[in-house]
Amino acid sequence: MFHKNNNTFRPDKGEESIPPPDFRFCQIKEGINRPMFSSSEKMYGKKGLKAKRQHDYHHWSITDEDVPSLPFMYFLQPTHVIISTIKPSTIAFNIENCLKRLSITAEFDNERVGTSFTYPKIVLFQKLI
Amino acid sequence: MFFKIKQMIAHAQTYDQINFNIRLFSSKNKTNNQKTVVELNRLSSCQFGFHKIVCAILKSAEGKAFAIPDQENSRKRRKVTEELISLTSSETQSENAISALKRAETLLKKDRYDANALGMKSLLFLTNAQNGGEKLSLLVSKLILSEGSDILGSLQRKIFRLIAFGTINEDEASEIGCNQFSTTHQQQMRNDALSVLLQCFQTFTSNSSKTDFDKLCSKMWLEEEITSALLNDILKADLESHGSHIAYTALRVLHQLISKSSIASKHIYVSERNVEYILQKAIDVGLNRHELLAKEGKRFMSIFASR
Repeated sequence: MFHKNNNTFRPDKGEESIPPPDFRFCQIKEGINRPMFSSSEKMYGKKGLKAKRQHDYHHWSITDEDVPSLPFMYFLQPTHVIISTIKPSTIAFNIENCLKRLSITAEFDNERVGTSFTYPKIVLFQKLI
Repeated sequence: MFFKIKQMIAHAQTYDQINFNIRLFSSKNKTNNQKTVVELNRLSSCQFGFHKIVCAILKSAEGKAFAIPDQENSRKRRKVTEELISLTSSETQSENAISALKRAETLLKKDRYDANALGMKSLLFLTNAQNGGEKLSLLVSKLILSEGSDILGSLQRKIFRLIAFGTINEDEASEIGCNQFSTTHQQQMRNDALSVLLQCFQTFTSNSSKTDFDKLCSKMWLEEEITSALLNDILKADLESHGSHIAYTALRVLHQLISKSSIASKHIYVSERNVEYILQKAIDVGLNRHELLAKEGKRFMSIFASR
C-alpha cells in the first residue's frame, strides 16, 4: 500500500532543492513575445522537456541492417506475424503510418544495435472497476 | 525482474490507455532467406480493445489494407440497458448518484495513491453514459458541474485543481517530480480528470441550451485558469511522448466550452494567448502522427475563425 506520507516518497528537509518536474510546460515561443503561463506556472518545470525534444522519438527510423536477430529461446507472443517479402524499413514505415491513422501515439526507440535496452518485466493491473 | 535485450522497439499507447510494445526481429530459415518478425506485446489495460488494434497493425505491416476500429465505442460491452435502469425510480437514481459521488469524494480525500486513483476511475465510470445510462450520467454531470452544491463542493475543487494546477491538494505541488511514481500518478489523475470534465460537458451540453449552460454551470469551469491550462495541454502535444492524446482531450473540452458557453468563449477570444498559433501547432502535430487531433483541430479552427 503506497502512502503519500511515507518517507520514501517525501524528501527530507535537507533535500528541499528538488529539480523542477519535467512533465509540465516548458518555454515555447508563441509567435508573439508575452508571458504564456498563469499562476499555475510555478509548479511546472521549464528545463526537462528541452532535452527530450532533441531526440526525435516520434519517427521509427531504422535501416534494414539494424534489426536484431530473434534471441535464442525467445517465446514469441501469439500476436506476431512473419513477413518475408517486405524490407524492415518499409515495415516500420507502414506501422508508423498505421499508428498515425489509428491515432495511437508511439515513442520509438531508435537505438542502434550495440546499446542494450533495459526494461522491467512488469504486470500492470490498471482495471480498477 | 529485469533483463537486457537488444531490439528495435516502439512503445505505443491508445487514447483509452492501452499500452503495448511493437518489436521487430530478423530471422533466417533453412534456405537462408531473411524474414522479419513483427511482434506486439500488450503491457496494460483490456484485451478486448487491444485485439481490435492488433489486426490493423499486423495487416498494415504486411502492406495490406486495414479497417480502422471505432475507438469511441471500444467499451460498449459494458453498456447497461436502459430497461434495467428504468426499473429504479428517478429519486432512487439521484440518491444513488449522490452516494456514489460521495464515495468517490471520500476516496479522493484519502492519503493514499490507490484510493485516489480508484476515486477518479469511479468518476470516469459514473460520467460515461455508456456505462450507467444517460440518466445517471446526466445526474452526475449536473452535480459535478453545477454551482452551489455544498455536498460535493470539495469534489469540484479537487477536479478543478487537478486540471488547472496538476494536483489534488495544495500541499502536493512540491511532490511533483520528486519521484517517477508520484509523477506518473499525478499525470494519470490529471488525464482522468480531463476526461471526466469532457464527459460531463458532453452530457450536460446535449441536454441544455447555450443560455442554460452559463447559468447552470459553475463559474469555476468557465474561468480563465481552465482555458489557459487546456491551451497549455494542446501546446504540449509535440513535447511529450503521448501528449497528443491529452491535447486531443483538451481540444475537445475547449470545443465544448467555445460552442456552448459565452463566458468561456469570451475568455478565449480576449485571452492574450496566440490561440491561432496553438491550434495550428496542434493541427501540424495531428497531421504528422494523430489523425483525430488533426480533425478536431481543423474543426475547432473553423469555429474560432468564423467569429
